[in-house]
Amino acid sequence: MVGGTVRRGSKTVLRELDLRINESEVVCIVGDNGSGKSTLLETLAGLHPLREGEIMGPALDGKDIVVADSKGRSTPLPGLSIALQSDGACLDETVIGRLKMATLVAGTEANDEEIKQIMAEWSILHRSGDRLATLSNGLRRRVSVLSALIPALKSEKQGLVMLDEPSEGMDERSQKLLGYAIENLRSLGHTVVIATHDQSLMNVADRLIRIQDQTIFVTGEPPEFDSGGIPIRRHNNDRVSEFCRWGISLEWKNPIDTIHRLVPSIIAILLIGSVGADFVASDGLFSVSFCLLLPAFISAMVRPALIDRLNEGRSGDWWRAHMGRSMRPAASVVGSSWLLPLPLTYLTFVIISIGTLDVDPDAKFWIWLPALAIIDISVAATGIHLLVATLRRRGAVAASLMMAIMIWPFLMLVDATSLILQDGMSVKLGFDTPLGLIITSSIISACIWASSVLIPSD
Amino acid sequence: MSGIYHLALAYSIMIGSLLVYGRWLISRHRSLDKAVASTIEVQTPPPR
Amino acid sequence: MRHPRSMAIACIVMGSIGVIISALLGIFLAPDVNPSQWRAPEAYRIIFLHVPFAWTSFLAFIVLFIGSLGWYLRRSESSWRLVQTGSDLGLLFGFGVITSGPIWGMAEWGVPWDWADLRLNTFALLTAVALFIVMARRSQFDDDTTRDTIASVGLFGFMLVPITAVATTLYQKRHPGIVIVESENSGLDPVIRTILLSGFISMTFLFVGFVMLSNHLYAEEADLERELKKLDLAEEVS
Repeated sequence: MVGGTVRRGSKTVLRELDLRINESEVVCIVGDNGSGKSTLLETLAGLHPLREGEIMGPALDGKDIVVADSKGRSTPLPGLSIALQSDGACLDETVIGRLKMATLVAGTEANDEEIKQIMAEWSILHRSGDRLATLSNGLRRRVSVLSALIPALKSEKQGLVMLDEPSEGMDERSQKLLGYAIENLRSLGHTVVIATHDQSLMNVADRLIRIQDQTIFVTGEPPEFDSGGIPIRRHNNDRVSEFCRWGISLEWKNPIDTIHRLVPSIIAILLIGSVGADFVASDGLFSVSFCLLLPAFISAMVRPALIDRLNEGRSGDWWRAHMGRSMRPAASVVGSSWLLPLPLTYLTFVIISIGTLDVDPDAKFWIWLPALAIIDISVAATGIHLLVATLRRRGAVAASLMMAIMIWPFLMLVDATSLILQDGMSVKLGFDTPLGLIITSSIISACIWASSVLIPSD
Repeated sequence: MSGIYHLALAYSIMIGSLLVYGRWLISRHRSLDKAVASTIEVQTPPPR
Repeated sequence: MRHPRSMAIACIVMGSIGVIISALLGIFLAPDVNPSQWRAPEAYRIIFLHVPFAWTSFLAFIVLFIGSLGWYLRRSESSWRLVQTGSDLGLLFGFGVITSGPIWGMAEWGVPWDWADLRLNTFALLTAVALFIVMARRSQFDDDTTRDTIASVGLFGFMLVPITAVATTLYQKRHPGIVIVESENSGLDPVIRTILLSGFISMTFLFVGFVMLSNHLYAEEADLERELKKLDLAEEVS
């Protein structure tokens, strides 16, 4: 870090810091409560924006890369594995699932047996299939710390391990294991940065960095270690797909997002059904199409449950440390409604008996196309929700105010649907054809999505 | 229908909102003056 | 310092008098329209405030945009003042536009909203963004993180403008319907034009006065907050 200044809230926590952390070094960041230990560690991981200065990290080709700077540039640190103070995990994850996923995301290939062996040493193997929500705080802390230690312990390549108050809430035996693990990491050539007030961990460190009055005081000497050219561990190039898998598996275990979206949509279908097809059709095919697509549209606009999952235990910050700026675009895709638009549209078709109206007989074979395009609307809406989700008191703002723009892509799909109901499907492209309108709607949704996810909010 | 009621409603909303905003500015102005005065009072040490 | 406040108050007073005069002229002096051609001939007089409101809300959104961009790029306090003032005034004048427009639409065409009307829909979206920003500023902690997010939202709001332009234009191709606000420059009666012009000028003075006073108040409130924080620290130490 060169000339790094960080503000948290309205307070300057770190001012013009210069700090170099050497490879294969164990460094402890110490200081009084509230002095900025976690802030420094998280800033080095790229989680807090810099007011001034920059952070450089080692790249895979030996040159330095900008991890973060005051101009807003941000790149995930290669070879990073991190344990935040607040666990960094969603409580619906299982112990073994969490450890396997963290290992994969950090770019290490470790088989189940190796992970279970470490779990046995740390006395959590008996809980491997349990959800984190069922564990005590101490056990959860062990899982969180192991999710940072295992990728490094099982890797033949250099990595950077960051631990924030790892021994807090741990029993004495686990604290000893932690000390041995850190020594082991050092001998394997990894760099370890620990924010702590635990004396036993300070005794293991090569250097102590004390934070006081917005600056640092360093004691100790960096070790002389010849890495012998051990390469730095790569990121896992599949971090994004690991994130998607994570999101989907959590929804599979606890389908709260599906329910939040389904309930208002079903209510809408029933209300539309109660007024009857003739009433719906009394204003022409446009109103029929409107009612047909409305439930799916409602499901697309609901605030995604993924946002709450990312807030839980600051798991969003854990992902951000590994994925950098690609997290928000990925989250907007994973968190949106993929499965519901199609069945909801066909259910509405049946409930309001559109088949009995004067519509093209082949229309029912083609309404899946505008229904599918509602997924694009959902992705854009999720992007908008994520844009405002960075506000700390997010329950006190109305993200729905930003959603009005989604009306036009929806109205274009309604137009497309009314053309399909009237004349059937046509593969011609133009603003007066179903396909042309659907593509235009999707392009507009894509532009809205791009605007919402590509403007960084830090 | 001549639209006179619509005219009255629209004008009431527009002029009413200007008045509400103006009142809000005035109340901020007053509470700011009070707050500054009480801050100065707290900062000024009492006479020995 | 009293001078900025005095100038601001002078602008506000002049603007207010001008607005009232314009409104009265619009009601009593503006010519009548042909009742056989207009469904609600008296309702047309809404334009004498609606159009100046639209103009000033446009100015307010520009202020909001400049402030958002300034904070986003440079994190300057003066830019943040513009965000605060721009969002307040964008909400105030935008609200006036998106309520008076549909009222006139209902009276004259029986339809409160036209999804194909570019200006009305753009104003509605930007007013919604302004409302979001005003609510967020009041509910969130005032720190760099919040301001960064709010500035991003402000910029997002502006990226919606060209998107809305394209969307409404395309929609209008398929649904050529009612255009609620006619162009004010095509063949207007000279009296109507004069009253509109006086409304524009008065509203601009009012807007400038509001901006000056609002910026000044926000700056003083920020200074006060700094003093209060110093007192908080002094209390903690003692």
